[in-house]
Parts: sequence; C-alpha cells; structure tokens
Amino acid sequence: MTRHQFELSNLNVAFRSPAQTVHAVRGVSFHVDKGETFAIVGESGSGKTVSMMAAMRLLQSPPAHITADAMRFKGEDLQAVRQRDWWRYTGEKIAMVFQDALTALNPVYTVGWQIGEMFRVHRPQMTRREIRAASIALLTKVGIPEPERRLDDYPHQFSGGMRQRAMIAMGIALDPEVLIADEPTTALDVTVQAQIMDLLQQLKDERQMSLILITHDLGLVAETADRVAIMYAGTVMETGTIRQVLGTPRHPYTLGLLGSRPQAIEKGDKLRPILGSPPNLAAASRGCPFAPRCTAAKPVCSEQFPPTVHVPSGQDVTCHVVAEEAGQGNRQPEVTT
Amino acid sequence: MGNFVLARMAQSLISLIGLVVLVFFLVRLTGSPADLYLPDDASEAARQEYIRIHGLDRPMIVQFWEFFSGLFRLDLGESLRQARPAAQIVLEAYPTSLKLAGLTMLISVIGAVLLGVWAAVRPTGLLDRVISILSLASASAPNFWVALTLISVFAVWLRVVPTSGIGGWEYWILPITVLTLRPLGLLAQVVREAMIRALTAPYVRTAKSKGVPFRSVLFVHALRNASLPILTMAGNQAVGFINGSVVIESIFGFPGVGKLMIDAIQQRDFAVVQAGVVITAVVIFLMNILIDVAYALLDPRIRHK
Repeated sequence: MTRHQFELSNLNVAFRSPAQTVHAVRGVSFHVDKGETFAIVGESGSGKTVSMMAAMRLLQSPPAHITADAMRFKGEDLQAVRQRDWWRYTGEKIAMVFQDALTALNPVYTVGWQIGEMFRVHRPQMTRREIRAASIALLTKVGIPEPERRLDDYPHQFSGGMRQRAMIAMGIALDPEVLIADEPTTALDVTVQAQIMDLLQQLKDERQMSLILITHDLGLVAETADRVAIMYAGTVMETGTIRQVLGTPRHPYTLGLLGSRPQAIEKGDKLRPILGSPPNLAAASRGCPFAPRCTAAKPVCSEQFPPTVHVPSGQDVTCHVVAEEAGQGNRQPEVTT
Repeated sequence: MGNFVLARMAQSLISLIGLVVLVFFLVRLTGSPADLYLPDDASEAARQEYIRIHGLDRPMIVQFWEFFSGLFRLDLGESLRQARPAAQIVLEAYPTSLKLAGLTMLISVIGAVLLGVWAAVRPTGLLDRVISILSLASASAPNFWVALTLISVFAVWLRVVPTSGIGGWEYWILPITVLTLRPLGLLAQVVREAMIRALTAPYVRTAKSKGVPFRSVLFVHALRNASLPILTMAGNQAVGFINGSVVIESIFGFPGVGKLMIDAIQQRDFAVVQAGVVITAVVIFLMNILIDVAYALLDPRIRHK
C-alpha cells in the first residue's frame, strides 16, 4: 500500500441520542499526498466538517459514534494512538484552521498568548523570549504589519482578515505536515478571501504541507485544489483530480451542482437549481441519499447503497447509474450501512 | 477609570440621601428611647430630663439637620447606650462580619467552581444530575432552619462544636457552614450553565485541536470565559453578606454588624442604626466598584469599550 500523508478509509460517524440516530458521515474514504491540496466540497450538513472533526478527535463521544476501517498519518494507524498521547499529533503533525476566527480564537486572551500556547504545549524547552520571537516571526510570515505590537492585541482588536491570518499563523506554528482548513474564507469579503487563499497556497508550497480544504465554494476549489471530493448527505459522491471531476463530471449530483452555478447558464436564463432538499439524515435510508432528487434515478437507487466505481476518465464515482453504464452494476456495493 | 468612579459616586449619592432620610425617620417610629432606658416607675420629670439631655425634644427637622450635616463632618452621632461614637461601635463590629463573609464566599466560590466544572464536563451524566440536585437543595434550604438543626445535632447532641458565641476557630464552623449553603448552591448552578456554554464554543474546539491538555481547556480556556456570570452571582451574594447576616449572626450570637444592628434597633439606639446603614451603604458602593473593576480585568472587550 502506498504511504499517503493522511488517509481515511470507510469513515462512519453517527450521532446517537435516545430519540434518534443521525448518520452524519457514511463510508467516507480519501487520502492526501505530500504538497497536495485536497478539497472537500459540499453544502452545509453534508458531513465535510464532521469527517475532519472525527479524524481530529474533536467530537464528543457520546453522542458521536465513530468507526473507520483505517485512519492513517504517514502510514501510522491513528486509531491506535491512545488518548493521552493524542496531543502529540494534533496541532503538531496535523493542525487545523477554523472558519470564523472571531469565535474560533479565545476572546479573553491576546493573539500572542494564543499563538505562544502552541509552543508552550509542544515545545516546553523554549523560553518566553524564544516563544515571543517565534510568534513575531509567524505573524510576519502571515503578513500582519507591526507584529511586535499586534501580538499583545486581543482578537476583537483585529480585522476579520487579520484574525484569519492569526489563526493560520497558529495552525502553521509547529510546521505541521497536514493542515486542515475548514472554510477558512467564509466570513471574509472577496478580496480578503483571495489574499487568504494565496497565503495558504504559498505556505503549503514553501513547507511542502498537505492541505485539506473544506469548502462549499466550487470556484475556490477550481483555482486552488489538486484533487477534490464532492460530498452529499455524508457520502463522497465523486472524487478525483480537479480536471476529472470538474472537467468531465459523471455523478448526477456533481452535474447538478455545476449546472446550478450562475456562471453555467446564459445571461437572462433562469437559474437551474437542484430540485428538492437534502435528506433528513436521521431517517435511515438504505439507498443512495441523492436518489429522491436525482433526475437519472432508477428503482435500485432507493433500495441499495450505490457502489463506488472507477470510471475511464479517472475519477471514482459512487452511483448505480454510472456503475451500470460502466458494466459494473452487479458488483457488490463496497459500503453498506 | 477615575471618571467612571466619579460618575458612579454621583449616582450612588442620590440613593444614599434617600436611604439616610428613610432610616432616620423609620427608626424613630419604634418609639421613644426614654421608655426603654428609664425604669417603669420613673417620674415624668425624669423622663423629660432624659429626653432633653439627649436632644430628643427638639423639632424632628432640627434633629434631622443635625444628623445630616454631621454626615459631611464624618460625625455619625453618639450611641445612647454606650455613650461613645456610633461609627466606632459599627466599625468595631465590621471585621467579624467581613471575615465571616469573606471565608463564606471563598469556600462557596472554590467549591462551586469545582462542582460546576465537574458537572459541566458531562452534562446530563450521573455526576451532573447528582450535583444539580444537591446544589438546588443547598440553594433552597432555609438558613435559620438549617442553623437550628445543625446546632441541635452537632452542638447539643454530639457536642463537637460550641452552640454560639465567639472564640477559637471551632466557633466559626457552624455559621460558615450554614452561610455557605446558599451561595454554594446558586453559584454551582451558574458555573455549570456558564461552563456548558463555554465548552461548546468554537474557541474550545480550537484549543483541543492545538493539543492543549484537557485540564487547561477547562480551567484556562473555558473557565475564564465563564467567569463573568460567575462574578455577577458571586458579587450579588457577597453584597448581601456585607451587612452581616442578620439572622445567622443572631442565632449564633456572633458579634458582627448584623447582630449589632438588630440589637441597636431593639434598644432604640438611633445613632448606631443610622451609622450602621450609612457605613454599610458605603461598603456596598466600594464593593460594586471592585466588581466592575474585576469585570474589566476578566474581559478585555469590556476594558476596550
């Protein structure tokens, strides 16, 4: 087996309560290689953030119930890491940058204190002076002017773009090999979005990091990612390189998603949304979660979970219709829930 | 900061004047001290003499002006019973009450933080339910009843602590135990609520993703954010104790301000009652300033407004 920087195989996350069980993530598998940007795209509630939170052990369990065939970091089995050793991985080897830095940064501590905490936790041998110097270097790196002074500011004294930069500075503090960016530009205006994405790309290239980008912005994905996974209702529908998935999309959901973009239609034409709404994840459906909204759906779609097939254009597609066309319709489904 | 304190003083002055007027006249409704201090068979002449000596025969408005102008000279009058400055008597009683209140609040806050945080780690878990029920019971139990029950069990029956009075540390056990119950219960509930909210905040998730040890996530990241509602409740409770706990000090024969005030009212020692109210008002004012300063220290967003 090739050694990927980070790898998830058949991840399932269910939130169990006495009243109901919500299947937030169903059979998600993907990997990311060194120096690569992998984008996970999906609408709110599609399970993209939950999958990464599960991998990072940020979900409270119970109610979260997490299973996976494999979770690996450079070949190392992450599930075998004991909870009391987990801190050596999180922040250090795999770091996370969250959306909406105003709430993701602690409002009552200075930005410098919060960046410095990375070193205080993971580099106990560093002196206060060294930590301060390293934090200033990080703020300079992410393009915050007057870093010596801004280090003693609180998050609310920063602008939105600067807060996100500070958040990124914290994420890259220990030179992680994998950086997970969860909608890093959502709360920002368009010009600042572009700056933040440029910064992330530049840092990734310099440090040969692997970047996992969680977003709902297809435009952003097209510009920045190497490979992409399209998620819907907790399932990866289609995954491959940008060229494969966005250039020759095969899954009806991907087709619908691309067709619904305003850029996809002629000026003056009506928008073409995907009709219907995402399924209730608490109601266990055996079939394809997209079947009720799918224009190509067949009877089998609502009865059996679709198989994942490798299509000639190179990507993997989880769909009965595509599988049948590819002549693999009779193959046993890889994932059943 | 100076402006802030000045503005607060101006606001408080108005309520202080109202309070002073009210106390001055209300305490005089309790009757004439002459009836209390002279023997039942004292002659009318002796009564008139007593009233004249203590200036109680002058028109009410003149007496009020004397008291009111005295306030500006920091002269709070003289005690009828002890024939020395009323302010001195009140200030002598203060250390006992403040010590009682201070120890009570210290124990309550520390206990409530530990219990509340403990409960908030797993909301609706068994531990949380036990702590919630106990804190509710603790906050609702009537003080005087608990005091009397504890006295009968531990002082009268088991004889492990004294029933009342003041002396060594053993005299403090029962009063502090009784006084702690209510703030402990109320604060534990506030800590739990605030911590549950803080622990679901995105910055706590960020801290966990940084590899911060869980203990620090709780006590450094979450608790600091939960401290404002805790401070509000602790402040309210502490202000309530400043006047001394009237009921508990009386039950345990504790020579604090609360007991002093009750005794002074019963003895129609007007000057002591007035001095007690005025000094307490000033202490509460100072206490509130302290609480506001603590808010600003705890939350930089308040500081930068």
